Amino acid sequence: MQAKTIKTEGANIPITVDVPYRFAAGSYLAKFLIELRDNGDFYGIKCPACGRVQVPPRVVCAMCHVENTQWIKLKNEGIIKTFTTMYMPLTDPTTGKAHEPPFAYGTVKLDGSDSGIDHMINPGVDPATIKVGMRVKAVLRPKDQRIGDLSDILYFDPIEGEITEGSGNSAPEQKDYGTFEVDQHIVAECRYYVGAIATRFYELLGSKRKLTGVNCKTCKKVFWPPRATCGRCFSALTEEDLVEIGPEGTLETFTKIDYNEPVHPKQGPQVYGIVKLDGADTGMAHLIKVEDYDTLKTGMRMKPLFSDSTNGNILDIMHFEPVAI
Amino acid sequence: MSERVAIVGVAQTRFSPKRADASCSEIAYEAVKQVMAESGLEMERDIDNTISCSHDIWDGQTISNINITDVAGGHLRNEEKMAMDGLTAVYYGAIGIMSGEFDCSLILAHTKMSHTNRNIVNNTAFEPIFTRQLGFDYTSAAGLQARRYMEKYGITSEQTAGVAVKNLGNAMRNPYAHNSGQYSVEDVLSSPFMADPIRKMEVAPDTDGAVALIMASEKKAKQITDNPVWVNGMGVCYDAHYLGDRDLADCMALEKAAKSAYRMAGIKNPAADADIVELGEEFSYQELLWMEGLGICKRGEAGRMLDSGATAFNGSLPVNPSGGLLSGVPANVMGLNRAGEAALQLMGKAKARQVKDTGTAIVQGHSGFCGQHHCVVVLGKE
Amino acid sequence: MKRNVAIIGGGQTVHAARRHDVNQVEMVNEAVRAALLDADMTMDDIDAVLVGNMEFFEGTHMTDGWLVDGIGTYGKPGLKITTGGTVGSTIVCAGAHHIASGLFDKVLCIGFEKQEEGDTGAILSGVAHPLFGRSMAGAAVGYFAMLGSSYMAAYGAKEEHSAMVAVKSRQNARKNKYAHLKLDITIEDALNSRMLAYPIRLLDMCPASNGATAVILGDEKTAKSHKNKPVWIRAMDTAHNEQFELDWRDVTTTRPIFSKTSAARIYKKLGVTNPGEYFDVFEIYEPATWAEMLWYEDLGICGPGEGFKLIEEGKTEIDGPIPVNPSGGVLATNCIGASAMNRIWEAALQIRGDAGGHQVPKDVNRALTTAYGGTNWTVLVALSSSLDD
Repeated sequence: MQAKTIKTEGANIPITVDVPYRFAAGSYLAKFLIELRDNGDFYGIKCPACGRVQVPPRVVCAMCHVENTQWIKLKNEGIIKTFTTMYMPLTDPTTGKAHEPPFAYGTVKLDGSDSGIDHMINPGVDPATIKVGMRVKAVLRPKDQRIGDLSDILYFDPIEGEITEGSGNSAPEQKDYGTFEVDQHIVAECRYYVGAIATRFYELLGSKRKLTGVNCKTCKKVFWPPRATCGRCFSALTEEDLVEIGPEGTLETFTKIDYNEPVHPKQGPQVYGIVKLDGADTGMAHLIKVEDYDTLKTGMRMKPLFSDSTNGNILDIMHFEPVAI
Repeated sequence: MSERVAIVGVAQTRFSPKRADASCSEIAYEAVKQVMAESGLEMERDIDNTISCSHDIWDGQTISNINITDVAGGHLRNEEKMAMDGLTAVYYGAIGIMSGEFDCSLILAHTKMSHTNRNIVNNTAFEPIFTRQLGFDYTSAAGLQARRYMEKYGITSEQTAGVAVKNLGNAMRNPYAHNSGQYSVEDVLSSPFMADPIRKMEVAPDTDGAVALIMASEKKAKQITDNPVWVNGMGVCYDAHYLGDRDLADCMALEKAAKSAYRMAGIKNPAADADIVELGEEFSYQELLWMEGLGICKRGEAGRMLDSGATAFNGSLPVNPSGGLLSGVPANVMGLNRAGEAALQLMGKAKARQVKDTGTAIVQGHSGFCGQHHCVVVLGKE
Repeated sequence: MKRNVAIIGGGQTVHAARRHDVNQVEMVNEAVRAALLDADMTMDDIDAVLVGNMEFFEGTHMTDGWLVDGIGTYGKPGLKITTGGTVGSTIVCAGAHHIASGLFDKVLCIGFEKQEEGDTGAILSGVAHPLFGRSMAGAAVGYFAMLGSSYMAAYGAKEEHSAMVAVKSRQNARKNKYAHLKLDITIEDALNSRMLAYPIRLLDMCPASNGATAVILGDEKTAKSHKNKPVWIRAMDTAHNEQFELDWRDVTTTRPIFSKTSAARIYKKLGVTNPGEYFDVFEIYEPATWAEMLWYEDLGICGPGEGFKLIEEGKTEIDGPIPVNPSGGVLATNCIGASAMNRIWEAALQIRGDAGGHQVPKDVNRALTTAYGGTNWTVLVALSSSLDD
């Protein structure tokens, strides 16, 4: 296969994908987080079959496939099972501040737990003095600043002392911890490279206000949007196969929505439609603008209104509107 | 097919508009616990593999099945994740058993729609170069499809509303459903437009929940139950992606998937050969459109078939006796729940929603907007 | 399996740091066309198409829907399965299931990633549980650093051993025209590269690559009459692993772990007692150098704590007695959705004798591939030139 000449920059469309979530901890994790937040205590849960104490607490033991039943109050200190020295900064997302390297980061097994918690070791301590097996104690945020998250632990601090067992049985399990929900977003800054054919499409749209589709000679069909492979016959298509279509077309279907979302290009009621541009065999979905929605009918002739700015994306067409009779 | 595959167990959580009390893992476990207990099976002893079904973006978890590995019996064991409508998990589950690699599989789907925004999530299903920035979601896309379908074949708003009336009424017999009631066509048509011509009462509501099934090879199935439900036929198929690429009133992919399923099952006339249909009507018009794609009636005839009462609970071919998606079924779980409902019907375990004399069920699920991908499964008592 | 299944063709893109010249559909289409060409087939010959990637990385949902034109699924059966870093192998297993079921004879399997299009930082931190760990997000480097630290402390391995793995990988990759990172590095270069988290240096970690791989599977009849030498899929095993308990970060753990468990099961299926002798080549999924040493041990190529000696003695070099990752491995090329499939395709090329510049210089009849992803998940696939062993 021939290696392609790779350009260092290509036309692309930046889109921020910002998805909101209200994560529910569920009853097992809720107890852990609430006890940490309110009392600075750590809880694990014990499998009735194998006896392992799991942190964070969870509904089943993955090894035994039985429900975990017995709550174990753990000590707030334990030992370092493994660690590394970080040379990259680690941002605390709740403060936005970065912990400057180098600092030790490791897995701490609290006394009484079989699971480890990954966390920072006191960044004020020289990482060269940290050892596997070292005893450490959780240093927490002040109570009024705790939110019920692992970041309520500021770090684990090396201390003296021997390993001790967990504190045994816990506070009464009947206590109702209620629901524990946390609002978070996942925000991904994405950038979609459009490829040669779409690049050409947007160039012609932006500079010449020309709309183009791609002609598949085998199928004898003009497809919009233009694409590099015909989905019907699998022929390869190139910029040479672009043909001018429209600018006018026929409205094939439409709809109107009244709800609004952050992903909408503008707020307020939106009308969408599919316009089959003259010369194309497939339609273009886009926004429709019409003075009186009740006058909109399929079969109407539509024309595009182009945006003033050209960004190389579909909003370079502002919308389609009915051709005045 | 040398050896057959059966569904031998069905369980689900109550479907709820919001389960703030439970994480995805806990919800999934409710269904797993139930199905294992009711089938009398043990994870290590009986289950060879798990096929789970969920989506990263719906769960807010990169590699969404990380959160359910433990409850799904995936620890040190075989677990794979479908990222499509849950009926494909039945399809792929059957393939796994037919391959000879597995004898008994746990099939699981979960989603908590309440913890995110379905329109933002579904917007990312539209390709980014020409469509996504227009702000589409599945509802606005469905509005385009609904109008096209209704205009092409003369389907009326009364008929699409009639689907909602039927299904919300059917849901009153379904203890797991959260959206039900005795409504009139006028009630439905007075609810506000969501995406004209689709009304609010014609849109499947946000739902949290999980469904779990057990599937097994013939030999193993007969050890587990004396009431297996056989997977007699199945098929999947893709349609084009871009909204303008196809006539949205066409059902090419559904027809092909159905054809494959019917050929395997020996079904010549689906309306006559099937006793019930459970299909995925995310929007009420889709029940009519998919009925036609499934060949239950001719193109353009589904509205009339609904009006005739044939698809009513007491009709000659009940469609969605469970209440369907309009009764509230989570994304990704939708098609798995249809399979579960159909299986319960054939097992005679559907209680208040039991349809009499059910021997063969047609089950359908779809993925992507406007039904870009379809999965059809034919289940039978024989 | 009820029917025998072989790899009858395949192809990949030239994996790269940047593919600004193509969109996702076009990039995947390159691999598909390469596979069809290699197999001397057209899309009409294909019965079903299976695809997988980590679409959250690209901020795309239901990506298989968008890909339809480029992967030939218009009017065709197909599915999308996603399991994280192991997906490339899972898709091949799924393809094998499809054919073994008797329902399909020729299946196209595709894995890909165009990670440059998404937000790696945001989505990688999404691997951690939202309410237990995501706010801390030490990321993959921290995990492999702890693994390396633990390994060195437990067995006396040195930083040089990591550098040896890094050098082997990148030098092998120089012989592989499809590999992303072809670096002419020495041990010193590796030891001088920037420290990220002790002992992991920049050159000890895998890159983020953009690329696609496609393999075509065929039933026995198709495979035996095909122009390409069939590479039979002899056994498969999948082992996932619960979250929160990432065992590799503490090598002294006595818990049964994913890698050893899966290896034991697949060896049992095949009757393998000495994997170093049974298999002629290994393609393993090593996101970091230290993971390669652990794979040697967990696969039973050497005893516990001896992995670093194996690399030190040169046993796993391309011309060594137990060649591991002649392709350059994941350290050279990591398009996540394709990485596990690359292991399988590269092993198939070895068995076919078609690996070109990075062909191991001995008879290759049997190969073992591993995958890695999720929270310590793996898929093992054993390939052979013969159905008789």
